[in-house]
Amino acid sequence: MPDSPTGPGKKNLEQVGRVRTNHIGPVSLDSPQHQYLSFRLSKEWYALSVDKLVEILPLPRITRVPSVPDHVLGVMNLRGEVVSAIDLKRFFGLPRAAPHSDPTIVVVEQGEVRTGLLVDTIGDLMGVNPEELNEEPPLVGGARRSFFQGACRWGEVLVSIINLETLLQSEALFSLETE
Amino acid sequence: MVEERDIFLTLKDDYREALEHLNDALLRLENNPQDHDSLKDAGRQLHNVKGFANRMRAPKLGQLAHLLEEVLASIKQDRIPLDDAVANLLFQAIDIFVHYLRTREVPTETVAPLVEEVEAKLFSVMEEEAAEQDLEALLPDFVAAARDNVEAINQGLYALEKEPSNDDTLREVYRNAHSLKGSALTMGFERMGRLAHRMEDLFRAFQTGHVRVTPDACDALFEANDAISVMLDTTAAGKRMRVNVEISMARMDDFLVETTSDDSSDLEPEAPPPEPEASTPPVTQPIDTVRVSTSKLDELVNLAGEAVIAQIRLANELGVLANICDSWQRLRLRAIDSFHPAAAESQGDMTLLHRLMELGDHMEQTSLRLQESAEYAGRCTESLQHKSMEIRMLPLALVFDTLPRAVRDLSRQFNKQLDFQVEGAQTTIDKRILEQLGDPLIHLLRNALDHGIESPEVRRQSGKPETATIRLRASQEGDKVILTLEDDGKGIDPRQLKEVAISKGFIKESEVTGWSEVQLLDLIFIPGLSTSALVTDISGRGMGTDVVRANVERLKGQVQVSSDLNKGTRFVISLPLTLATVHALMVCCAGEILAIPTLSVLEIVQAPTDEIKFSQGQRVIMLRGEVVPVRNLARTLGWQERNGEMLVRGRAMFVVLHSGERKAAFLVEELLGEQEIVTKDLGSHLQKVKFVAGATILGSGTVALILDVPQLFLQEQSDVSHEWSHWPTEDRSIQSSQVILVVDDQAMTRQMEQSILEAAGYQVITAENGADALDKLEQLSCDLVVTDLHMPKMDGFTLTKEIRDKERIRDLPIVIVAPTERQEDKRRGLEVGADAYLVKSSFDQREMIETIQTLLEQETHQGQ
Repeated sequence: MPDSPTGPGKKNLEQVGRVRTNHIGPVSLDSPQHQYLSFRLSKEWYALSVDKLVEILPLPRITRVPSVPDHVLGVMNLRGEVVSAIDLKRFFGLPRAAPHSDPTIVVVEQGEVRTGLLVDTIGDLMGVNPEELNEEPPLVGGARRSFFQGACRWGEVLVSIINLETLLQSEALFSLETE
Repeated sequence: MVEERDIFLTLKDDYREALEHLNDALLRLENNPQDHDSLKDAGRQLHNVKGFANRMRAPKLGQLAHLLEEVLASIKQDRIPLDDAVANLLFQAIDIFVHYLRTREVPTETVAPLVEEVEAKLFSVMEEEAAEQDLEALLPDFVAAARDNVEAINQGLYALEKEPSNDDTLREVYRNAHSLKGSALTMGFERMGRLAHRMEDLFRAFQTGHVRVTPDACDALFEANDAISVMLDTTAAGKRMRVNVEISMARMDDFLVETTSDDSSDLEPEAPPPEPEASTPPVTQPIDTVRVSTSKLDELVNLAGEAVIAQIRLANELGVLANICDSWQRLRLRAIDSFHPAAAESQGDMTLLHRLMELGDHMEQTSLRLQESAEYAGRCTESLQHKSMEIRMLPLALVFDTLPRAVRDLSRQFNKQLDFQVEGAQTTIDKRILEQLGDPLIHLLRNALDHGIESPEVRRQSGKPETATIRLRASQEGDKVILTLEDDGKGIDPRQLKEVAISKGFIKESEVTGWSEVQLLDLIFIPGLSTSALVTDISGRGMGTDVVRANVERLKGQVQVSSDLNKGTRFVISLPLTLATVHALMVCCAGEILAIPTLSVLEIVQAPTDEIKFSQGQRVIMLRGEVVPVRNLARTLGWQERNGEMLVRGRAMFVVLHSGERKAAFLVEELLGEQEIVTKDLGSHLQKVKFVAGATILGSGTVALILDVPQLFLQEQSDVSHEWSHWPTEDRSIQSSQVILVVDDQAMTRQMEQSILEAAGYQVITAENGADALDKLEQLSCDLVVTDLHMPKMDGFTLTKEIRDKERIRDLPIVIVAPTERQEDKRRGLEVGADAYLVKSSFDQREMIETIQTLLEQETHQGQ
């Protein structure tokens, strides 16, 4: 596994799936590492736990929904299920422009609910020890500290680890009023 | 009310199942008395049997089952050993139950002694240990049993009011009060016991004829029963609440003063000794019902919907394949023409050509076979969807049957005399809708009784019968269920309603000028208006009519009110048959496809933009003399419209929508056709999105939103002015003089096709069926016919044939627009002489226009 997520190397789903299965299977005690999928939003690097990962899709057709916040792109068809799609870049208030963007939807699952997150580029799978999350996330744009578990160095770059639970349960994510 | 016999037939399968389970469980228990699961199972089944017996008004059987339940409970608590004697009692009982199932007759002569025997068994045990009972542990059992008693008494009282001298009912309520008293006292609930005892006395007095069964007496009993119910609730919740029983006691005492108290608890005269009966094991009948959780059913319905969508996608792809085959056919002919064997340069060329021909033929045959299989699969998936939805349909009786009791209480509460009539309770509707119908109905009934219906004196003075009538009717009309709730009360005065609405600041005088009475009456649904006290008094409609509308609209239905002053009020609630699918008009708006439930669509209008006028600060259009506000759908939803092409031509396409009495013409970009869509929700994050009622997945795989039409009307009128950019005027030069006759029995389809064709510049006349079309063709000259296939009086095939047989019009181009792609229809249509065959469901207006243009051009060429 490359030790830096800076390369545009997009990992395919099989790899993610394999890592996930490996992870879910018996983990040896001497390796408390946790697997994270890294991705880029604008120029920043983020990652989320593979536990919550369902699948990675090339940008599908998204149907706009009226009277929702701008960062809610709309809804899409995930094998017969209607799933909402979020533009994380807009939600965090990051610049729209992104170098070498390869728009991709990362489908995550929190509780029974699935959500699609639009990201610019998929990066590496990172194996990180929980103690290594000792950096502070830079909180670019309007992101709140509670949306992150922490951050860590991965090679050259700083990667902020998203706390999906607080992010997806955030009132601001889907409603106009509390924004 | 559903007939007793119908109930028997409906419930009997469940009952038989319960008996079979019971039998099995007892057999298992006999082998292994420690088998607690079987014991629990047996108890549950007995409970079901008891419920059934009570429902069927077979009190003896109910009592037997109840006692046996207690026996099982005692076994569970190790108070009674499950020995041969006890097992025999249980199996004897099962035989009696089975006998009832077969014959619907209660073998009184065997039941009575058995009941006694079981009672004796229980009694002996109870006596032994009465002192040392752990009451706390018995509490849940007691509450459950007592609730059954209370419910049975409720039912019985209601039946008594209708039929005061029904001995069976009297016996049943007596027995329930008796066992309620017994168990309450055993549990140490002294006040509850006393209350039940007094009820028992009163019932006894009914039986002996000492006290007459009057509504007032029943009222006292209902009250006492309700008090017990409240006590049970608090007891079950582990609380102690002082419920005052003295008033209830006193009310019952009023009726009892005349009679001597009779404390005997004998149930009825002794029955003759039992005759031995041939017992048959109850397990021989086949199981013909299965209980399934509703969530499983929902899954099934969803999956069937998915299958339909997949099928549509498949059909689309097959259409493409068919086109490829057509193209190949044409190429083939040209190839044969140009490759004369003599001209072929080599033998190799010829072989290659032959091989290609063979391959092509192969492809064509495969395509045809595929089409046939796909059609068959299509019919299967369609009926799969249909059947799976039918499973969820339940009779309205399940809600309607609960209303008479509520109405009775209300009419006594408000001192009104009332005849409540229910019709059409057998009409079925989606379970999900049924579940939520009770509240709005009770709301409306309460309002009618409280405010709509006058007191008996007032009614007498105004020459009406003292007893008012409220009639609730249900019927199915097409894919809707219509509920009508009608009273003959004082009605609502629209003018007064208007005045109050204005004076309370709900509307401005200017907004309602020129409104019809019907429109004014609709004000009753304005949120907040109907709750104001003043309106309540004058309108004859009280609290929360807006809540009723909100409830109904959540079920994708509509509610409307009409009223004749001093004659009565009528509410009409129309509901979809099911929430799983909805019939929708598909439109294009700001580049998105939207589904509009046809229940909300009044008509489709296509008009030149210069007919849109500006009046009182808003755009309006005249429709048959009525001024209808015009709204821009895209802008209303906060989107940028893309009406470029249409507006440049100076014509606009409108869908006229309504919510109650309010209507507006919404500008859309394109009509895509009507179809049955499977509804889904937007996912739990987006539960309550403004303007959106749900979503569906189209054949193409994309998600389309279902519009929440009532929400569109809630949007503030003030921002309407932002909805418009510029309106170019119509470019009349593209108007064609060509006339097209549209034949379809569905008004909506006619309008839609008319709009599309007029937008393309044709003149359109319409006909409702083949016969009508032939009449029109006699009188008017026309250039092309667009016809549906299946219509009353004369279908599309016959129409086509008739046209081809008439000298004057035999060359008229005919386009068939069929509801579904069916090879058989298509072949037949083309055989009888149609020029083109299009499919409604995959209907693309461009395809239709192109086809028509091509046909008309050919016609002109031939004509020259």
